[in-house]
Amino acid sequence: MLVEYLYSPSCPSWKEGLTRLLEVLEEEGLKDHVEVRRVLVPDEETAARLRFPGTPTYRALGEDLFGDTPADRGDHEACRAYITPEGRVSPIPSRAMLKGAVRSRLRPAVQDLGEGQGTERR
Amino acid sequence: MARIAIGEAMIPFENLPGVDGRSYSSGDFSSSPLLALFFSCNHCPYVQAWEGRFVQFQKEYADRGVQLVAINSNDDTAYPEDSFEAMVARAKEKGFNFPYLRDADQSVARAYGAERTPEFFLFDRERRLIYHGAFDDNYEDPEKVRHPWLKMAVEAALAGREPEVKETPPVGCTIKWKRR
Repeated sequence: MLVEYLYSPSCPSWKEGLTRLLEVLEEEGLKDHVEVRRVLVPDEETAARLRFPGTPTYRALGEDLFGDTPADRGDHEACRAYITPEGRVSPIPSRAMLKGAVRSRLRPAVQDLGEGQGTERR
Repeated sequence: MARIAIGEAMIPFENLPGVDGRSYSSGDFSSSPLLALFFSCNHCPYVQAWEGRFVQFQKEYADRGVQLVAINSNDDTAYPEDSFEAMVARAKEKGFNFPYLRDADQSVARAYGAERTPEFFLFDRERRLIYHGAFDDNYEDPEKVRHPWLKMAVEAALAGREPEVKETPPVGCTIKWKRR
């Protein structure tokens, strides 16, 4: 199972967004079943080609982990806004938001692939 | 990188339109002992995460002679959310209690060498730069702020001291420059 982490270092939270994902995958027991691939978005051409909505963006199986993808701007320096369950705007998803996305979107996909906890690896 | 160093004089600006319909120049704030200019915008999630704190800050410090002034220099072609009309709407929606000015030709941001939104420049009574950088050290959660950088600098200046921390890296979105 592959998760793509799309980012530009122009947004200061890019490292924290990646660290948080890796920590959540470990906490959820999915670290060995999910490969996280860093995808640098270095310029406007790449941003347009990837339909990049901003840093950080998490994609698996071609879909955004947070569903409602904002419009891409063709700006590799765009920082993405996330709305927390408390109604705050944040430039990165909270740990709870990431955990929710991993549980609702990644875990079922991993299990479908027979790679999740309690299933044999193939 | 900022083009104004700690201890240097404020770079004046003239006739920037404000969301209240008035036009502002830097000299209009001469009666305020401390002036905190900051480059800001509508669209950036870092600004949005912090802006409630900016309003609270101005409320807390207005009576102590501290004036916040926000300047939006972003290219509103690429980011229509940063148009003057959108600025007027956001200021109203969020209850901004400080001037929110449009730097349409980006000359003020260029003169200051500003790079981010938000990015603060705090000037003392003599209009010398005494602090440059971030508002505080936690954009995500106001409850977890350990270093309220701007407040620390303001409190030091109000007490007649130099700020202990004069510069921090500004944290936010890049300023959206017009294509040349």
